[in-house]
Amino acid sequence: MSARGHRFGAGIVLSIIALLLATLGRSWFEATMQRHMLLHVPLLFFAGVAWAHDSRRRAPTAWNAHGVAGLLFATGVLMTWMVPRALDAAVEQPLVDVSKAALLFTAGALGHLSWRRASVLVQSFVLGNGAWMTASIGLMLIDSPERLCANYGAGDQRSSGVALITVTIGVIFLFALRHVYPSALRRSVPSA
Amino acid sequence: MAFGLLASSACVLALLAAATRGFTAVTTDSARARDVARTPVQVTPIGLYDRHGSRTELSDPQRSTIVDFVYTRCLTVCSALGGIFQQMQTDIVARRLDDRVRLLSVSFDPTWDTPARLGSYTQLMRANPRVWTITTPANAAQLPILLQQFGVRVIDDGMSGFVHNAALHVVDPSGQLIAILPIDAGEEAIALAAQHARPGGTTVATRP
Repeated sequence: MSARGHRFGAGIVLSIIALLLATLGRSWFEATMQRHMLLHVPLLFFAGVAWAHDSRRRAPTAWNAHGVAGLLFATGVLMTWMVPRALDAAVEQPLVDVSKAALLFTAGALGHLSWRRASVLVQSFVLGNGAWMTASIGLMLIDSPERLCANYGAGDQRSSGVALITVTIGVIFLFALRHVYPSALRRSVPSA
Repeated sequence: MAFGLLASSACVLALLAAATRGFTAVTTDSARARDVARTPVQVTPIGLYDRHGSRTELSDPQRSTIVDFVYTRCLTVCSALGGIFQQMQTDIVARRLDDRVRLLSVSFDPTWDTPARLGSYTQLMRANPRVWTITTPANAAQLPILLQQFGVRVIDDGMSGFVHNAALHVVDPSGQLIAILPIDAGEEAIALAAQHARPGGTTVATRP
């Protein structure tokens, strides 16, 4: 165990592996819109989540009551990397790509710590709004008659839209399975 | 407690503002179009060959030039652009604006698009040489500069063709890129180009 309530565990190992993969495979990940949006961005976010997973400290409560501030930041960072212009800039300018990595890592770490502090109500709110946002962008990508990213083709754009919507539905499904469904079961048990 | 929320909101706002260029553009192309409309860009005069192999320039000292970027093997966007330029050519001639506005197609595939191949493309497009010139860069090494200045991105489509953005670029007689308009804004492009032309000599004086 290292100092300041952080222990060196599987999370940090995973985090480093994710960061290495994202860095070394940069050109492969960014070659298509689908890999960029649905693999590269989540991988960097995941690196932050895994890093924070090993932290024993709870997220600071004074400024991050119920994890709302941290979750807002994490959602905002994810939203930023769905803007076509931002994706183009990440492909074309290495400095933007480094900022992308740093922001997503921070968002992942902060998001994870805040998620643990958040009640199911707050979690549902954040996830519901995030899902709405992601699905809207997915629909925009499918529906747009023009190419939105200068660096990616129209077919790639459409399949990225489909993939975004699929992932959104998957995440909501898992969340519902974990929270809504068991509590519904618990409630129905005593009455039965 | 509110400090965290405020700081977080401020971060998110700043990030989104940076990504969308102050909430004005979601795509690279629209941001570029806004930039150019606000601050015209002086275009480096790059030599071009027409179908006869003679040198032409990107800009014309008297007429405004509406530029598009194509490659003649292209079957998708370029055919659409070709049709649009045909329509614009008809409009320019009908409205007698041919001493004010010219059309210029530049190939970004100079290895394939030699002057000889431009010849057959010119015939296919029924380009009127008075209005519409189809060209290829004289020096392929200068192509990246040209594309960068006009904000054109050409990517490999994996099937020995290219994917590229298409727009109408208006260059005034002094060689300034003054507007990048969507391909369906032909009329607007012609009007803007005509407005910025500097037709010299007697030709303009005799026009009604």
